[in-house]
This record gives sequence, C-alpha cells and structure tokens, in this order.
Amino acid sequence: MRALVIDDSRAMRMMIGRLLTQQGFEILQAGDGQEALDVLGACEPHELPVLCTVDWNMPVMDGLTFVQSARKRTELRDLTLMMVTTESENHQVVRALAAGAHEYLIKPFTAEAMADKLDLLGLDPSRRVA
Amino acid sequence: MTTTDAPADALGSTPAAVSVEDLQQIADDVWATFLDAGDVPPPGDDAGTDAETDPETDPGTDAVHSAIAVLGSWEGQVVVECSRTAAERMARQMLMVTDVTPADLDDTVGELVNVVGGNVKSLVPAPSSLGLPVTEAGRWVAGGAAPVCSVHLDWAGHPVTVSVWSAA
Repeated sequence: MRALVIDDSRAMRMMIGRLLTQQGFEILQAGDGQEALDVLGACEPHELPVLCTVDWNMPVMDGLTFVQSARKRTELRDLTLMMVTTESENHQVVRALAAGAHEYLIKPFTAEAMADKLDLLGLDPSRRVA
Repeated sequence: MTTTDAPADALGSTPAAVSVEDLQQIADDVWATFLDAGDVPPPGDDAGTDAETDPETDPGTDAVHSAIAVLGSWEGQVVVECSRTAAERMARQMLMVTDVTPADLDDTVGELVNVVGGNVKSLVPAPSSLGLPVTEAGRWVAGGAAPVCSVHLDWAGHPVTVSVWSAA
C-alpha cells in the first residue's frame, strides 16, 4: 500500500514517512496541496495511494483546500485523508472533517498515536492478515 | 531530553493566557516526540566538531533562532533559539542525514517552532492564525515585543530556549 505525505517541512515528511514505512507503506511525498494533486494526477489508478497525511498550514495550497479539492475528484473517492497538523482547536477539527478528512492527528504525536489512527481507519498493513 | 533544574522564568504578565507551565509542557512534548534519544547520524566530513563550534566557546556568534507569528485576537511571536551546533544535530536526527545544508537547518528549526507555535495558538483567544516560520542566524531580537514567558531545555547537552512574546 502507498501513502502520500503532504507537508511543507522536509523534516516532518521524513519523520511521518519513517513511521509509515515501519507500518509497511510505500511513501510518496509532496510539499504542498497543489504538488499533492499533481502527484496524484500522475498516478495510474492502480498506483494511487490509499492514504494521504495532510498538513494544514502550507504555502501555495493549504491542507484544507487540498482536502476540498480531492473530495471533488471521483477518481480519488477511495483515498483516505488524515490531517496531521498543529491546528488543534475544535472548530478547526470540525472544519477539516466537514471538508472530507477522515481522521485528525495533532502534532506533536507519537508513533503509537499514528498506529492507533491507522488501525481505526483499517489501514495498518502490519495488522492485516495476508 | 531533560529540562534544566532551574525553574522556568516568568518574564512578565501573561495577557496571552500562556503560562510558563503551559509552555514547558508544550516544549517538553515536542522535543520528546521529535528529538528524544535515538540514532543520530554523525556529522559529515564538512562539519566541525561540537567543541569547535559550541556557542559556549564562542557565545553570541553562533546562535540560530526561528520565529513564528500568531495573528488574530492576540498577536505575538513564538521563538526557538539555540546554537548552530544544536540546530545541526536536530536536523541530522530529524532528517537522518550526515551533512546538513542551510535549507535543512531552516526546515528543522522552523518545523519545531511551527509545532510549538501551533500549540501556543490553541491557548490564546480565538480567532487566531499562524504565520510561516522564519529562521535566521543570530540571537532573537525582540524589538518592541514584550516578553510573556520563556522556558529553557537541555537537549543532548545543548541549551535551547523557547519563548513567547506579545506584539507591542
């Protein structure tokens, strides 16, 4: 399974990527929402990731706009979107979920918290029976 | 990562509703989560040794700071300040690289202040938003900003200061 990590910080992309790699994902990366749409647009249907982790505050296109854009694209209907952000106020969580995000993880987070979210989403490859 | 023995210092009133205890908790959580003990790639051939670049041997000339603005009902800055040696080590650990470029250093310290700033933002009156981090060489210059609170960390033997400032 593939995951697309969207964050304007390379350090954060690396960190999230390492955690997801440990969970069995193959990692794609994008530095903002527009780049993420470009990466997804370049994928053949069978190459599409099953999961996107989405930072909120990014230049060019922020995470909320990316979620809204992705949700309008039928070819991305099976994509699971998880916000991974410092935006921790309740009204921001509500906005993201209303826009189409499936889960919400607040930075800083532990590896266990990430694994729990993946488990909730049914996306933990390490816990799947072949 | 441990905090210093000395109590964190309250520098003034707290109009932002950010207490020293809040900031200490946030900073401890961020450093423990992202930079707790783990494998740190050694410096590359181009890097100096800690002893050569440690700010304690050359105070004031080797500092790095990153600041992020909180905008809205309350306005101010959140700042992370440390030595370049510490910043390079943080970058090596978070990026798992041996040679740290200036962009790597900016990115790493910028992301740390971004996460601290985001958590500080949740404590100040809404509505508020976060700017993008700006990382620069040298010590933080407050200008007309008023100190709200500050905490000091001891990360891997390197002092790190995290502070909150209210706009004038």
